Amino acid sequence: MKTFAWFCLALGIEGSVQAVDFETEIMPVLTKAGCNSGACHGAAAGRGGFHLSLLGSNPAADYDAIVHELEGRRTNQAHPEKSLILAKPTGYLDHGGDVVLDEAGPGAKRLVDWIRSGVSRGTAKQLTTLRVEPSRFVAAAFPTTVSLKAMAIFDHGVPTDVSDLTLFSSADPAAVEIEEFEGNMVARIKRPGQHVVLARFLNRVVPIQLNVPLSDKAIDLSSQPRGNWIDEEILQLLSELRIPVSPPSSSNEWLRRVTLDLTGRLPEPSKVEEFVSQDSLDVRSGYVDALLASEAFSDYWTLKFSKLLRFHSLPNEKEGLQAYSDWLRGEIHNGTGLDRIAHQLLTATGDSHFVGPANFGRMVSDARDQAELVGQFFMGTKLGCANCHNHPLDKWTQDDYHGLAAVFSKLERGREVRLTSRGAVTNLRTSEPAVPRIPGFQDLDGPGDHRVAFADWLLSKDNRYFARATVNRLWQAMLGRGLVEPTDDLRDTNPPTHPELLHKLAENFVQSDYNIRHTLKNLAMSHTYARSGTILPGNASDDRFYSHAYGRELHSEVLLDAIADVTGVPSTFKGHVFGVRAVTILDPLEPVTALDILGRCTKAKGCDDNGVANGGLPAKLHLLNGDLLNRKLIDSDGRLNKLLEAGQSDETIVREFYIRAIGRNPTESESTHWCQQIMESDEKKRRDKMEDFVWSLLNSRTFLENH
Amino acid sequence: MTKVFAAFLFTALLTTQCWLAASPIASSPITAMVFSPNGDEVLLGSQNGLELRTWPGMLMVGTIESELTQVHDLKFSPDGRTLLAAGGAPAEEGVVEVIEWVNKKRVRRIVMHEDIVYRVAWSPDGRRWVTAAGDGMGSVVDAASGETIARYEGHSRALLDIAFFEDNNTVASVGVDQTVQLWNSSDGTHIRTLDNHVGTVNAIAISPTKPTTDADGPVTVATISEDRTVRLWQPKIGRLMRFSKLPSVPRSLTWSNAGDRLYVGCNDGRVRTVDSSTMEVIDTFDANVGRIHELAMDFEKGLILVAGEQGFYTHGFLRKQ
Repeated sequence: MKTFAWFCLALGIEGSVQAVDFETEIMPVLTKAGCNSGACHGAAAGRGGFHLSLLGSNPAADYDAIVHELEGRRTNQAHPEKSLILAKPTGYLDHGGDVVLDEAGPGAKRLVDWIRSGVSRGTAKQLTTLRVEPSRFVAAAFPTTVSLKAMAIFDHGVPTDVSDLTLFSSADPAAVEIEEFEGNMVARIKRPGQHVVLARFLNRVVPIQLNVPLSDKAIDLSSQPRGNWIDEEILQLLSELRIPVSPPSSSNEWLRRVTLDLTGRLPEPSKVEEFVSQDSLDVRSGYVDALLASEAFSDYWTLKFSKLLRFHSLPNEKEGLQAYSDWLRGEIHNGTGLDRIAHQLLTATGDSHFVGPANFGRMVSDARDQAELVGQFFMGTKLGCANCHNHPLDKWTQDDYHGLAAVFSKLERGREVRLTSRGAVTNLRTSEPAVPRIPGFQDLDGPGDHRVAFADWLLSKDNRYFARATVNRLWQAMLGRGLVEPTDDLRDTNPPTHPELLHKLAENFVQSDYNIRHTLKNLAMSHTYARSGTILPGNASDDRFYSHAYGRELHSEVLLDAIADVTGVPSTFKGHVFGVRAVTILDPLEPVTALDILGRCTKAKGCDDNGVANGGLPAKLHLLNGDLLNRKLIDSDGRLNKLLEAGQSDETIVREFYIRAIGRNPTESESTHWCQQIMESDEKKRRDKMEDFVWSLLNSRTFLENH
Repeated sequence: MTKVFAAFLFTALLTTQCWLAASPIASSPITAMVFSPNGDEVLLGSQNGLELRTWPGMLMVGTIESELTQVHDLKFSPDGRTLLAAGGAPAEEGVVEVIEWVNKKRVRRIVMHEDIVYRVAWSPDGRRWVTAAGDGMGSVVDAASGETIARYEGHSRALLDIAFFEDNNTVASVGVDQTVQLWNSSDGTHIRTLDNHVGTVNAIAISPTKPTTDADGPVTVATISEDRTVRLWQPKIGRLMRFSKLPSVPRSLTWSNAGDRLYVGCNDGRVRTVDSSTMEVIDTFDANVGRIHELAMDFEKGLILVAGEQGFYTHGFLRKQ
């Protein structure tokens, strides 16, 4: 009996060391201390001969590095407190990363306990949910503080407070500081506005939105008109942030804006007069419907999607691009749901000179490129980082990247696009052939066309990757800024400004059978879209909450067409019939000097950002001094020459160009001003001054922007 | 029934697995191991120190005093009188303790590196020994005086193993920088670098078969790496002879007496026998000790002793070496 008692006592002493699970209790300590960050041992090549996976994305490899590597030098099981894994971060030994772990703190204790208990890997619990409190916070004033908590729910079901193991990081430390106060994690907000704190625990990242009013004075937006649920969402956030909204735009402004956004064209002068005289919600609705049904809409949105899909011609082979262009335009014109278009793009095979979507896989050089294009276009995400290492800011692993590439590895990309039994992609992590995989979801075992499995998953009932990416791009096209920017970088660590709105837009888009016209009309008919660009004292700094309209430079093709329309001198493009519009030229490799100067998308990267491919300073200088404008101004068949030859008055000519270029009549003072400037008895001098007037108008921001 | 029982006894005699439950070094991986010069005992090293056991019974005899925080190598001098115990404290010091075996007393404790000494190797004549250390240095020590007579700084990362050639002068070292480097132990000058490995080189072993044609003829050397390959070299002429890729990362390595076999301990706890003429794996057995850090061959008794993260394992091989 005595022996048994001693045995129990011994067990009790040993039992004071709690069993510690490596993955769920040790890894977070390292992540929180910054050990596995990109600047430290999480760098691609590690640091100081010690490599950890970036932000703990590969627990097995990290366990190996800590426990096994170099004959276990980093953990001392005989004397746990002497372990290198403790001695370095606590500052006992010289450490390039300075002291990052309090030797008396809970993290260090947990490490000692783990080593003392035998450095076991533990029974990995699966994290099912990470909840943070608050997930959203609206402050009444600033500076202010918010307590942050994180609760993990593992597969065993018992919620566990993991606040002390969660890395809370501020996206803008100058605005929000994270600090520990009396054992709790606290966010100290130092600036007004919308801020984001990211809570990272294991492989989960949850954004916490902190909204602090920009003004001391409450504002009442309850009387603001609401066209649909989009306005509700926008006004709610503006109200929380106490940002006043600008007045609605004029009928002329709205007309020019919506015509440019939906068709890439300026409104016809006859339409302007008619619309302005009858403007109402019904008239607007009818006008939007007409635009959405127009050929111009199909041309313009074919161009937009062609850029995202990296359209370009192949050497000595124009037929493929022609078939691809014809197919895409046809699908858009016929109103085919984007889900069906997507499925065809992902799975098509056949003669690419006749089967348009079969060209999708020919726009890239290999399976890895295709995986990146698929990630970018269909999922709104940049997978490229995961080629060489797990994505530093997202959940994508190397297995995801190479697995998705493997989905397309058996595709033969000649004129005849077909699946073969050959072809593999090497997973750079394992140096073995990659297993086809739906990223972040599951491996695709067995034979068959894995592209179909991927497409089915992407477009399945509960999958919102494609819908979210698409509606965000549509929003950006109409409102000037995506709810997530950049639009091809949707991830947990880059949250939307309006999460609920993005969610609703995506749901609505799916319910409409992926109908882009449906979503575009919703956006066009909202009061948010109709807001003017007038700046008020309280909303001047707003560049993302849509309190006023944001001016956007016209895309190069649209600008070139607009100049042609205003001057009445069509641009000529080699190899195309006279009068063809720039928006119908989908091949970025086609030599078009004017577009090269104004800026084009490259075939390699496409254009998936708000900056499009504007040509910057050279484009501006060319507009000011180059041939592009000047030649059209003096063209004998041009509008100006015809008006002058027809003996039109200065006032009429000024009015004509105003309404064509900026969609409205000149104000009285503008008309007077220009007429005074132009007034000249000498015909030659009058012509020169008229040219200067049109030149001035076409170089003005009012013309060069959609506002 | 009798036959079955006899077979069981035979197996039990040849194959013994010990979990070291009662051992002082039970809680740490065994990272160093060597048979005593007379072959009756085996010495084990870990983070808990040095422990002497009978061989092949593996019964506990006692411990040997050591101040090494971590023990990574044990090597007897060619005359069997002196034992080197190598190790130290990671990122602090690399230490070699010189122990007089007859009375098991430490006669010297030499702190010679700024990081752990992972391996030591005696020159065949027993006059020198060299170190491979985590600070990226190799040192040559005069065995009589304990003085460092040369240092080699050619590696860019930690050295993990080292070997002395029969000429008592040339040394080959391997390490984390993925290279095999030959250098002169008299002055530490570089001779040649072999860089075909694409991962950390974990160990090196010189073939026991001496060249027959010329005293300076091509000696064969085997290396193993994190790239999962076993490679055979004639390093003095810079030739990679052949290699094979294993299913698991090889961690420890030893030659058969005749030089026709390589025994490779791997991360998956298995020992693989590789035919050195074809580089084919001709036999595999599971040692059940986790990662294998040490292999020791007793050719007389036909036994192989395997040590690793979870203890040790004795295995009989049927082929007389």
